[in-house]
Amino acid sequence: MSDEFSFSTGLPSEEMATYLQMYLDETAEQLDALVETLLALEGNPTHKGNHNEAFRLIHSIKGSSAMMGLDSITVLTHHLENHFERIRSGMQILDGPMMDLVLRCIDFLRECNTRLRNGQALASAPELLEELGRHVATPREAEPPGASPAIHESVAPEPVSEPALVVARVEESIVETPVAPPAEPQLETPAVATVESKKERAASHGTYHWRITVRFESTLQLADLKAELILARLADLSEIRRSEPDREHLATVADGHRLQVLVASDRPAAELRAAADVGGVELVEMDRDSQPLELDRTVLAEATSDASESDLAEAAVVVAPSAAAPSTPTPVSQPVAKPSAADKPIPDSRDIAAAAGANAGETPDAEHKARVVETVRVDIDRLDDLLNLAGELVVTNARFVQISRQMGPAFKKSGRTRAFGETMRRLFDDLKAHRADDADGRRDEWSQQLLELESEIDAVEAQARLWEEGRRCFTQITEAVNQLTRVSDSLQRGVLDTRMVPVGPLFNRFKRVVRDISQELGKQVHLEIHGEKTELDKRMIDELGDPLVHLVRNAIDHGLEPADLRVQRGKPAAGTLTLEAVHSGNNVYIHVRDDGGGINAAKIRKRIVERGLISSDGAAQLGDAEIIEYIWHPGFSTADVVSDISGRGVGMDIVKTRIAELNGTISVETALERGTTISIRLPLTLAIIRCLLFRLRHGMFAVPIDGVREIVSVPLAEIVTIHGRHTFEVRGEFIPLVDIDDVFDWHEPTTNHTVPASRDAKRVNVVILQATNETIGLRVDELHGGQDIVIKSLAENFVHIRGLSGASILGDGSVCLLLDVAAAIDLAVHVRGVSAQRELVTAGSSS
Amino acid sequence: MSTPPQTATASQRRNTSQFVGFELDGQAYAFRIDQIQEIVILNQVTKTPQVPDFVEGVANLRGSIIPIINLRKLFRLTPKPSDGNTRTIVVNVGERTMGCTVDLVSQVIRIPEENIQAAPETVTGNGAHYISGFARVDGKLLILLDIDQLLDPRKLEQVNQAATLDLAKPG
Repeated sequence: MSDEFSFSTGLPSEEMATYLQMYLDETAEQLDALVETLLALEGNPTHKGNHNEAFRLIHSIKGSSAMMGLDSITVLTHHLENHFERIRSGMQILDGPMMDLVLRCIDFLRECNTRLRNGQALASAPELLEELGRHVATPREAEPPGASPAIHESVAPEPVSEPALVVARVEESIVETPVAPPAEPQLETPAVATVESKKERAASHGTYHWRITVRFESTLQLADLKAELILARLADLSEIRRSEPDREHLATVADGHRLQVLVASDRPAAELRAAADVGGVELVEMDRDSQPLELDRTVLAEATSDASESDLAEAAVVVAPSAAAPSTPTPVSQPVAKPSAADKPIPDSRDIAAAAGANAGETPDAEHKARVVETVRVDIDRLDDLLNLAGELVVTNARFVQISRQMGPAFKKSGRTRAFGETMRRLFDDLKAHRADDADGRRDEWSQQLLELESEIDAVEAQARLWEEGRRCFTQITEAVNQLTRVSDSLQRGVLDTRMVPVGPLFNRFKRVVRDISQELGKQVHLEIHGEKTELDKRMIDELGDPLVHLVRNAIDHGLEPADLRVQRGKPAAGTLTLEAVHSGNNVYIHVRDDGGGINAAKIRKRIVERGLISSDGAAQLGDAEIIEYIWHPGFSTADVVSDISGRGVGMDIVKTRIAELNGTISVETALERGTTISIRLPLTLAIIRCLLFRLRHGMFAVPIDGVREIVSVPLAEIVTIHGRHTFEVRGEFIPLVDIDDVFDWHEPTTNHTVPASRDAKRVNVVILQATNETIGLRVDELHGGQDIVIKSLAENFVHIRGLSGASILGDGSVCLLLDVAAAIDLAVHVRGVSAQRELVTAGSSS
Repeated sequence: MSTPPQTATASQRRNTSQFVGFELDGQAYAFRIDQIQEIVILNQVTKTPQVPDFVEGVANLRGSIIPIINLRKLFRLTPKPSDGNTRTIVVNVGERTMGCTVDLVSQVIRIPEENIQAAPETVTGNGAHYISGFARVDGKLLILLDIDQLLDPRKLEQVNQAATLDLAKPG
């Protein structure tokens, strides 16, 4: 069957390339939605709404790929569409193998998208087509639609649920545009149409043969008159080749409630359908073929089945105007027609069935359109640029604020200049008055000096006025800067908001992941999703996919026990995996929770000793919580068998690094036999973080406020040294005190790393940092308060530096480094902690 | 900015390539002009930890944070504090933008291809793949450097290792 199609492996034609992006974005979304629909169908295989949705999505992908000239996609989706057409009409069931096949097809379509995105040529998928063909060979026994219990879903609101509920379901979601309804059978219409089947074939370009099948409501009286009316209406638009029953035997229509007409017409499908769609008609089906077909005398269901088996032309347009209330006049449903697609002749005319189908396919969507907010699709890079600009604006604004603050004192004293001028003027006037009394010879001498003094005073007064003016301007500048601050902050927030997207789609991808993994491992897994409306930065969502896949795989592979063990432990055989997103303050928490066996600390203890990560003595000293933290250690894996899914010993380590790169933290909570929860804490956005700024010897540093437990000022005398490590006490708790040099290697010639005992200051400022369950005090030179900073990546132009999660540009244009609290603590405590045990000046005793 | 290979072929047709010449410890070097974004004087460089000493730190280049590599230190030459002649050459290395400090930037030099000598095996064989060739300009020896081989963050360490060679005296 596939050899009827020419496979194009080339790239889309030049003029279409501009639409490619749009196509890719659209199909990516449609494929996601399709997978979700399919998975829903896997749980409830007879859900009509989902059948229709799947059909609609496949159809729409087919339509757009055909428009793009992506033949191999069109061909595959065409076959898929055929299957779904049969599935939704109850002639085929969506069984396990079929589902797998469909999912593989979707994988292929995704791959096509990737190839298109990368500018590679498309491949064809003959093996998938062949398999799809094989599935056609074994359709479920065709039944009249009404008789199928699967179809008889209780979706129809009316008890008069009529046979073709397949259609009724569609009808429900159709937007009903009231087109003047032919209320009653129009008896007065003369049956004038003549069947001119002998006329030569209309072979002009754009003329096609249509097989129109009209089914009447079973309760309809005088169906033969209706049939006559339809023939008359069709005759106006087309050349009627043949009808079944034919004109002479129209009375038999009442028996089968069905009329088939073969026409040749160059009119759009929608127009033909409208003509056939009169009151009392339950559904109109239109098949298009390139050759005149023999009319099927079989029942409709068989006809459809045959058509799809014998050729690919089958692609029904289904319209159900009035199934729900047959006796009352109902508005004729007028689905949104897509004439551009429908009219466009395509070399292989069979393909166009897709276009006609578009009408049926689009209808469920139409209902949503009324409610859906208008959106614009924007390239994320543009948003990035915009955000960067907004960030720079904020930085520039900060600079203005700083400058105007510095200018403040200069203008505050301007009042004194004026007062000074006034004093001088008064003294001068006194002097002049005095001089008038004096009439001796020194007059000329005085007058010269007085004149000079006067001009000086004038100058001072002028200066004072200028100053005054300057001060007014300055006040205005300050106001303007304040205004600018407000605007630039709002702008930045606005830009950030545009980047926020719900985590729902990300989570929904896991339905498929979980399904695949659970099948592979033979474990039953029930996936629960909560908080899918929680919003996160788009970039963050993009970055989260892989780490989450790792975590989910781990949870299913290592977390959930085999079914028999679960039952033994009194748990349901199917494990539950929960993905949850919660918004809290400036953070979003994502929890991956399983109700499995929990993490066995003893097993980990054994493993890390085996792996040489720690000595057995060392392991014995650690508590369970500390032992469990080793799951994040590079090269650690507890899986006894290295499986394809997890257990490569890199997963958790990479997950932790990736989360750290997003300025997030990750923690684990576990209870034996109860399950494990892995929690990821993320900032709302990658771009902006509330930070505490402080100065160290090496420059300015920022640390996310969330990582700061408190800031304390510790008297030098209270710093005690225990085994070469500085410690201080806060409310009865001993906290290690570290210098930035204990955290980082600065590649400097040996400088004085010790706590300076002879410092003038009697106290040191300490920022207490906290990550998961470790706390350290970092000695800082100078605290600079809190500030929202725009985070820039270090790795973008350079490399990721362990212990730093990025950098930011301050108001003065300098770069400040952003500390990654968890990694910094790790570095201080575990990595460089050993070398920190060198002989230190005991600050406590020497000061 | 055009991609290096195209420009290279275009230049070859004219048989002349343009280089930006600079000096380090009295020796003249040059980068092909295609990958050079600009030459700037940087005031503020923030020191970064956990990196080799030839990384001066990071700087703000109009809102982008770029690493600054000290070429003197990369080549293990005697360090010298920056002065009025010190410049930072901002280059594009793949997707990255990086800066490298040099003693002074001399001029843009046009060198006919036939005057460029490929680097001898004895030099590149020792790991110094970053030397793409030599040329004699006005009687002075000019070492031509390959930016991609020199400043790729993954290769910096190698370069630093290989730089113990006496660069000034090739064959």
